[in-house]
Amino acid sequence: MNTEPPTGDDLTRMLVSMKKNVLERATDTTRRRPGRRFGIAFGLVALIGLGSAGGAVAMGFVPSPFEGLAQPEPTAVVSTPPAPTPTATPTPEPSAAPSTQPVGGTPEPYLPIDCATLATESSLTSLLRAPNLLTDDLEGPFAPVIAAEDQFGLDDCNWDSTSETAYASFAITSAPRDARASEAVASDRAEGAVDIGIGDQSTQICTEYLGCRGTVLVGDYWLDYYYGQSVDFGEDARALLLAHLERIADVVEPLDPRAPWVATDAAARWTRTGDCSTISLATPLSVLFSDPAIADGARTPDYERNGRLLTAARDSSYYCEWAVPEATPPTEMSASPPAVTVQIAAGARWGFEAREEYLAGEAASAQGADVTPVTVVGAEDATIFCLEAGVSCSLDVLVDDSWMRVSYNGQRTIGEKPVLIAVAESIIAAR
Amino acid sequence: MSDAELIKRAATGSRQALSALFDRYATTVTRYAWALAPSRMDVEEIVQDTFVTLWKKSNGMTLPTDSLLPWLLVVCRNHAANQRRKLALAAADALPDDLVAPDGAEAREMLRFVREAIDALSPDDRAICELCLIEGLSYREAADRLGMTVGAVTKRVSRTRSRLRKAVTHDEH
Repeated sequence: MNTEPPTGDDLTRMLVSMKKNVLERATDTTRRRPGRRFGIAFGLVALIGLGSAGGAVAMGFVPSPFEGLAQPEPTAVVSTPPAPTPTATPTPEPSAAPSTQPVGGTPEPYLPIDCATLATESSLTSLLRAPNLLTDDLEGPFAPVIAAEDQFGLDDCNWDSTSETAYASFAITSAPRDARASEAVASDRAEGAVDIGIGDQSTQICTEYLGCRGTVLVGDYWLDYYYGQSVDFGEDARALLLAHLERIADVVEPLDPRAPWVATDAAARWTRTGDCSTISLATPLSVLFSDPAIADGARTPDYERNGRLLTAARDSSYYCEWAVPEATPPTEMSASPPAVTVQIAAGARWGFEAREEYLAGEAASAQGADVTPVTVVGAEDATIFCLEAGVSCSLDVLVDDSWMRVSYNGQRTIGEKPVLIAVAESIIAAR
Repeated sequence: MSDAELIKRAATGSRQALSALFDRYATTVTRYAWALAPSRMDVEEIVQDTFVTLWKKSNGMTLPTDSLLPWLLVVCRNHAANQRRKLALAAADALPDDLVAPDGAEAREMLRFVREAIDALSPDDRAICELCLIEGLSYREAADRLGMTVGAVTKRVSRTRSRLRKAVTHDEH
């Protein structure tokens, strides 16, 4: 078009409408994805907010009394920031940490405060007018690497605030503070991040279009944050964000962390000891695929771009790929190389069991998923989950109290189930 | 959370991750689509198709660089081209002139509403935009040309990359 693109409220109305449609289409779309959960039963409203009123406001279904953005008079807010008042808020989750977590049990976040309470105690409404705590349609870990994050003690809190004319979002990820946290700060600063003087160490990188992200190290905790909004990001929004981060640091700093999660002894056989070269196959992939052109070496995907916190959180798990080249290169829209992928989370029996519970439920069957128990030699339990009439499958395996997932992304007609089982058996045999 | 991490989460079924990526890039994609499409309705369709494509294709997607934006812009361009093709076929007319791949100057002009966003990208991401959106390469071809193996651990240094370390929207003179 030769006209200028919309701006301001006009643009935001357009974005809100498109976002609603995209999320609805994502709900409806059965995708060729091994192992993902199609939680249609949880529905769109469950995704976008807590409760129907919040969801309706978030997607602009009803007129919102809120702007959905930071306060329009930021200086007033910044000059009189609402002090955290933990004692005046509804009873928070106990901050006194349990002395231990059950060995091998479902892990709890290291930070002993849930997202809703953190929002209340840090007065999130001073940053977001109408914050909706975003909850995923997925309950429990939906992949072994995510289970590994949980076992590390990581927790995510995501909020957005949306009206018909604007939206903003704020996210914070918490984890135990270890030596790698300071390395992350140093790395951020080397990339040009500024010191915002919050907590013990902190960083911030802002871009006009993408908002601000950064790290705050405070007390026992490593916090990563992100803030973005649909209108130009200026000094006023930045000041509001800084004030909110200060309040979060004040809330978090005195809390006693939960005890670290501990794996069972049996899981030690799968504890990560190096890169993917330490995961080997008893039978080469070239044999399993009957293609001598397939190399047998596994590679480790580059986690650097995931950020240092998530890299640390997944440090105990394996995520390895074996390239399975095809005659016809993928189209640019697929962008991903064909590969067999293996994830292993040592000690994540709890995650496998949660997965099994989901697969046995209505949400999985409602999607027409084909869930089949299978025998994997050397494993305690295994299930294959297929979508689209067996076109796309993933294999979840319980072995040594640990959770392994094997999946294949590519176009070969390989008889997917037998190959996945063979890969799992081959890895187990070689351990 | 990085684009790569959000993509991984979207690939495992997290619409929350898709929502975050939409929040991050929809404005820029919309501005690009505005230069490509004939009507507001078409812009909305293209932008939505772009993010639904992201949802469908996020499985196993591995970015060769930090930002998802170049990939989104390439997909946006492709959907716009598909849309023009459909419209032309529906009208049973001869293919309109603009279905011919635009030359560099025209392609650069199409980026007029997203120049700042692209300039804010890393040199590698800007180079991908240059190769894909101006020179017409596919995303994978661009990554290959730049010495990046999509999904690989390492990138080899290429002289081509240093040649392209200029903002794609800068004038060529």
